[in-house]
Amino acid sequence: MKKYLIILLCIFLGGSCQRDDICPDATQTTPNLVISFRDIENPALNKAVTNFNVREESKPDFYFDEPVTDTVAVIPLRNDQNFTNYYFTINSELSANGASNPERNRDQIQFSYATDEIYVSRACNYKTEFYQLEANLISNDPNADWIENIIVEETDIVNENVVHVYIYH
Amino acid sequence: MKTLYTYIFTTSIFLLLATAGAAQIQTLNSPDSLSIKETYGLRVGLDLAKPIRSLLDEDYSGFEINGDYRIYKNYYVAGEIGGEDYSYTEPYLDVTTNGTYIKIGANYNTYTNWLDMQNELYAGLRYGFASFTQTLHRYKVYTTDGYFDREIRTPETEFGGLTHSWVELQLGIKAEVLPNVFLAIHAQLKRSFGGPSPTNFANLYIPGFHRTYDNSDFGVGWGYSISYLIPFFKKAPKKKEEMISTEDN
Repeated sequence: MKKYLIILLCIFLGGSCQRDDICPDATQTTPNLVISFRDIENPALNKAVTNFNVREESKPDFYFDEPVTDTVAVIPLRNDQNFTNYYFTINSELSANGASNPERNRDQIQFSYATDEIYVSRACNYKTEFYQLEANLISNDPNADWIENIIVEETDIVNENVVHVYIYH
Repeated sequence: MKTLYTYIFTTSIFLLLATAGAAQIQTLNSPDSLSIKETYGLRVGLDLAKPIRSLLDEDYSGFEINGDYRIYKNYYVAGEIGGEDYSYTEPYLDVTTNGTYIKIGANYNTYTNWLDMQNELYAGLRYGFASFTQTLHRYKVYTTDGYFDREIRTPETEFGGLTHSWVELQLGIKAEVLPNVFLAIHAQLKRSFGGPSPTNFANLYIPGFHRTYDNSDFGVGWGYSISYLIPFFKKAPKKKEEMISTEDN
């Protein structure tokens, strides 16, 4: 009897010592949109966007603190409405005297989708998943678009392990 | 609040031990120690911790009545019936659980009493079953990205008709503080058998089982109760000496 009691206690103590009131980093919560930039002249190749930055139309601040030059961008989508309008800017850096690059070019893309909220756990709570993703170029910059084509590769955004959208430039 | 509970808990244990000890010294002087009879009957009680917590914690209200009946020597059929209504807030959740529960099982008294004392040091096993409703008042959608504000939703969704069952191990002390009046304290260790999960949510607090853990099927609890033994009849226990002499014949 006593032996079983001790075993029971051990199982119990072992099981309850994992904290479940902090959401672990490894847990997939609301996923971001993964964009890969490709070369329009050679569509199989990645092509970095020079001094790239993005800004959602209602936000005063850019998403990246400093412009980035990369072939991939991972950005959040709004989950309070079923679309997010982003300004994608190339050559967005400022020179030392505060003037912008004359090559600066801003295109607007509308990402539209359906959302669903899914329970994760006590600490991680609910996450948003995005479905039926569409991406459309909705505005022209006077300097002509730098984005040539947009292809939605994955319409369901449930994690950040795959590329959801290819942008050709 | 937690410190207060711990304080009440510790004080109660000392009180119980002290009264049990004092009572035993009295019995030592009892003159008719040769004709000891043990009382059998139905003991009914009320959990004291839940009403006290109901008064102190505005987010909680609960009650529990308990009972046991001695069927044979140290064996008791025992059970509890109760109800809880508890609203709690996690960093990203705001939920109310409301429901009732029943626990049925048996206690085994491991304590050998002196003379006609009726104290108990017992281990108990229960099957527990709860029927309850959870209401999700509010939650924030969890995002790791800080660019957009975290959305707060107030769905007020009611998840009704939920049930849950578990097995529970109890370890406790019962002390007779007045004739047939007992104070008891016990600790509970529970293992969930599960039950239907609400759609797109989880059972975070279950009446009688208490808080659940994401990574574990176990739960804990404790109780502090006062009870009264309604005596049905008295029976003399078999004495070892008598048994030996019978065998000799």
